[in-house]
Amino acid sequence: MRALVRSLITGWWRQSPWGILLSVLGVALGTGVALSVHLASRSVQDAFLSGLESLAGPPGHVLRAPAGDMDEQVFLGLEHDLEPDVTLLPLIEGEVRTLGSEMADLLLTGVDLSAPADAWGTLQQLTDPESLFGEHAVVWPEARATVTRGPREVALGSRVVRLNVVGSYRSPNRHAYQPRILADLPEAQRLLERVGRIDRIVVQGPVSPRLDRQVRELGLVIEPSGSRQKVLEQMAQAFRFNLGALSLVAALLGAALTLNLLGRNFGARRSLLARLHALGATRRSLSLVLLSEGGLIGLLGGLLGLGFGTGLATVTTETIRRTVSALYGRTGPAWAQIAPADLLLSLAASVALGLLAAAWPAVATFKIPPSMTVLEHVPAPHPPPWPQGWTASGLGLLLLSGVLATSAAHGLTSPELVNVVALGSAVTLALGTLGLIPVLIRGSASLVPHRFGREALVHRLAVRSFSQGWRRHTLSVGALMLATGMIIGMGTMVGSFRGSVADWARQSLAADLFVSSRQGEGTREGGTLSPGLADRVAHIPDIARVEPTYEIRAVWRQRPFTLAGMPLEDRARRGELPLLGGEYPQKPEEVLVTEAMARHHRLHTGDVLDLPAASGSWPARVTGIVRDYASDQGQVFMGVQAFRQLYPGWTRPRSLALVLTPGTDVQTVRRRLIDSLPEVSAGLVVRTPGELRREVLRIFDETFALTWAIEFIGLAVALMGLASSQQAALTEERALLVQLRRLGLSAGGLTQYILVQAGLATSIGLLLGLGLGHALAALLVHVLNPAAFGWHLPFALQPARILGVVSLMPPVALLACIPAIRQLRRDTHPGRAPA
Amino acid sequence: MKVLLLLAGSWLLPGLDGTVLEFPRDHGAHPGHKTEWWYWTGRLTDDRNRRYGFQVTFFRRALPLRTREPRSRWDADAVVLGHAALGEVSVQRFRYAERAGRTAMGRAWSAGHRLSVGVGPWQAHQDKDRILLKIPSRDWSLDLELRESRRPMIHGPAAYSRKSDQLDQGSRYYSQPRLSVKGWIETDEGRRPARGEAWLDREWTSTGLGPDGVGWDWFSLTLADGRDVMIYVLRDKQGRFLKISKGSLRHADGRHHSWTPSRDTLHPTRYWTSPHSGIRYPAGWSIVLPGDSVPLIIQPELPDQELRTTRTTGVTYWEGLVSARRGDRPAGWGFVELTGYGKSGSPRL
Repeated sequence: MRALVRSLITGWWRQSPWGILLSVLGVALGTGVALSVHLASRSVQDAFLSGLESLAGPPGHVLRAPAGDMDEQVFLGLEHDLEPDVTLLPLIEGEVRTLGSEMADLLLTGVDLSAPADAWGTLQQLTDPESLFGEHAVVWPEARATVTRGPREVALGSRVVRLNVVGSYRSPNRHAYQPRILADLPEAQRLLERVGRIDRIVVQGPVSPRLDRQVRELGLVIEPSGSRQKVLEQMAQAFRFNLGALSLVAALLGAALTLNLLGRNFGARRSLLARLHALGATRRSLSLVLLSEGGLIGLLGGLLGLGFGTGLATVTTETIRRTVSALYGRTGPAWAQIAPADLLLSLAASVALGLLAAAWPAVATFKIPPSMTVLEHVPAPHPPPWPQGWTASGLGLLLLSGVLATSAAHGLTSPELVNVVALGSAVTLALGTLGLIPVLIRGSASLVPHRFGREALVHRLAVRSFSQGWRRHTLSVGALMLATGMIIGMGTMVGSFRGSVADWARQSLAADLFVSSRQGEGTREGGTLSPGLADRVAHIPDIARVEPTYEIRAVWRQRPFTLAGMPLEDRARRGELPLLGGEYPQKPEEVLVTEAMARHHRLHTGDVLDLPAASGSWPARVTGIVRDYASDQGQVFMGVQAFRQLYPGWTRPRSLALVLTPGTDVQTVRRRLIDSLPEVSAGLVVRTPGELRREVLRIFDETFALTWAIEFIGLAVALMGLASSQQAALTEERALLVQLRRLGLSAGGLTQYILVQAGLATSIGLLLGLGLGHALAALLVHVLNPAAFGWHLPFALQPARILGVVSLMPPVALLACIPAIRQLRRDTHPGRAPA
Repeated sequence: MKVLLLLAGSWLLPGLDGTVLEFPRDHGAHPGHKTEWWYWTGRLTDDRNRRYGFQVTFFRRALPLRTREPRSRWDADAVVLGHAALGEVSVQRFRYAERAGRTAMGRAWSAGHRLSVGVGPWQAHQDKDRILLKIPSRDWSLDLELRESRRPMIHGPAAYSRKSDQLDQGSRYYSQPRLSVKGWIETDEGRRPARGEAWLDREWTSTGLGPDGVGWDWFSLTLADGRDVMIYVLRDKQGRFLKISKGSLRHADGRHHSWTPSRDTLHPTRYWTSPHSGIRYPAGWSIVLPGDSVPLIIQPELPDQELRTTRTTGVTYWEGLVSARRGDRPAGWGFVELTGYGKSGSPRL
């Protein structure tokens, strides 16, 4: 009997080599997609974290001035009589851009190279230690390629400087991102034209009460190492959530695809297996053969998937990295690398899926009574009952989601808690809506109007089969619903956000031209302009007014924010500072705060801020709150005169806004500026408001590229689900359909059968998806955005997107049905012998 | 005769400034030279009769002259590096620490004319006839007062010690054996009073080892019979002794001998492989001193006295307390330094 079993099973293999191949490919595709997203997301996560860590500098408490940089004299007071287990690392840094073919933004970091800190890694290629202290000497970061020693030109501020690369350094983690060029502290001070200044001091070791007292007496701020870690963790958490969702979706896709294809392969032989069982083949021998087959297919597919997944990951990593870079800040280069654990896990998962897919029909086969095995096809079990449990759970979850959303919007004050609760609300909302699917499918038979005519029987059969097979169809409808919900939800939120940003950029960029440095563009630590540039620009003909904006990073109540000095009156007159409340300042000691600043610190008009200043704290009264999407950390806007008075050492503007003489051609003045300013070759850019707005929107679009990737994968899952559920239905009902075909049902009738089911699934998925999407969008716009970024957005319906999804889904669903239609037509062709 | 020798030396030995060593001036720094070090090694016994070996070293390394403008307060003329080690013989534990800093912004200093050198909280300072050594470290500390009991021991003609066949490759070199020590040792078990003896080695130079030398074995021995012995053996790649290796011996009555050690009179008797670096070092020696027929047997008091100074010099070396025996009888104590036995790691930033 065992030989017969083997012979019949292997005979089936010979008869259906394409089925086997398809199964192997299905496993490979599933494993590959899941693995590629996992590898890509992990490598980007590593790059992101190493980017954050390397930007944060060495671990430890950080001492910094409440605003801007500090006089290096403070260091003398701190270093004196220091505890033996404490080391202080003074640090100065500035953005540089490498010139030549591989342009990159790096940080020139001045550290005391005579006092090693175990912070940066190990020195490589250094032939003479003394050369570290030479003129313009720098140590270059070594990532993968060996660094060439010798002269190297970089743009520094608005100058081109020739650095002398005397060696390289290698981080302990070879793949960690190192954006820093290291130089000895005095040399970096000279290069950055900031002799006598340092940016911060990193404390390696514990901060004793005495050091703490000294630091406070000197007017410095201590950022505990834990607080920086917390900020990193918060950023990483949001980022991981996104990529985690992406990985999960991909894994689900892989598993669904694999199970479906394998399941179909095994399911098709259920009657053969049942007959063998009836003829005396033991459960053990049948299970053994089936499980061996499933395991083997899983293993082969897994091996193929490893190669496919690694290749796909290599392609996708850079795309995901760019998105993450735009979304969260600087990341390092990322490479997809497969670890032994990934290898084993992927293979184990593939084999497990193979075994599972084989076990399912085996178990089902053993339940079939021997008397039924004489039928050509084994009928499906009795129709399942109504899904009351699902419905009750779905309604309960929807209720819970509403409660969570309400409490996140109104009851909670901690932004972290709001995030968690709002995410909980989103998940329960999706699960709750999912819970309603079975009842809608089951009820579809009574909802759909009866048709009369030639094809009424087919129509009725299709609806009945769909209604009774709700277990089979719930997954595909759920996938469609989730895909629609994600596309609508994210799209509405992103569309609302984009519209707000575009509107704000249009309003706040009303000058004629803007001059800024390209270095560090898009980062909070962006480049600055030389102090004398504004005067030189003012002497260029046809420029009526030059309006500098100065920016200092400062800390207030343990939170970083930006202090900006700008000609408030001029900008207010042009309507560049849209007020959400209050009025524009009239006196030097009055300031505006952005919405994010007001929300983070619960500030209202009339409140007084003790702003950190070079000469101590400075009380500033808040007269108004302005709309701003430039910084989620918050900004305080003050007049230029007050800024110069408070921060006399801060003379480098971040940007210049130019107002031209009325009637002047903007492009002519722009050309004149480019021709007369030598700094242009070192990264200085002169842009029109239109170009700047496009740049803002470009950065915005890059930021949200990841969401489109998630949506794409979601849509792919949905379509795969739809296709697989159609084919599964055909496997179940093949016997019936063959009979109908022999009784004269046309090929068109068969197609109609499938389309009716697909139409029902798509309609329910779309209906629920539209509801879910808008609920998710409301949650994102009204709860998560204010909590995460501190700004509000007007909710804007996106009719074009809704229309796009509604019109896209049916043809795409139809496309997903094509394999099923083809198979059914082939299988039920009157000339074809019964299987 | 001495003046003649010095004059000849100044002509014969380029790099030698021709001056007679003068103390306390020459205990201080010599900024005209590129490299300089103060090297204290010693043994201590605390009030519970526990024995220790210690090493405190300050290196001064001159930096290129600063002429760049604008001047920064961080511009320095030298970097001071410090290595310090404590071997606890009774519990067979060895710990070391290292520091480095520039001679600016109060991070490090080295004064001329008198002994005052330091980096961060580590310092060596001469106060009248006392040398005060303060080495606070994370897990242990030394706070010692050293006094001279014998005058310095000069190595080479006019204290010029050649380090290669090239005449201009050498250093000014003297030692100060038998410094009496008292002070405090602080370990995990608290701060304990301690007494003992120490040896100071002082060198300054503008040149390094010759092209043939890959490392050296250095011995300082304080013998119970009143003799002080310093031996340095320079080795080539094959482990052969270079001819310019030297030994100096001073009797209790001040008579002085110098000789060239050879494999016949000095050879390792045992070896030890570091579990940290994998480097194999000699760990026992037989030394026959001039005029002696019975060899001295030198043995480490602790096997593991290896320093891996990746944060400062980048050099991995063995430096530790040894005992000297003649037959079954204790004959004295000393320190041994072994360099160039393995590849050093990359210096850390």
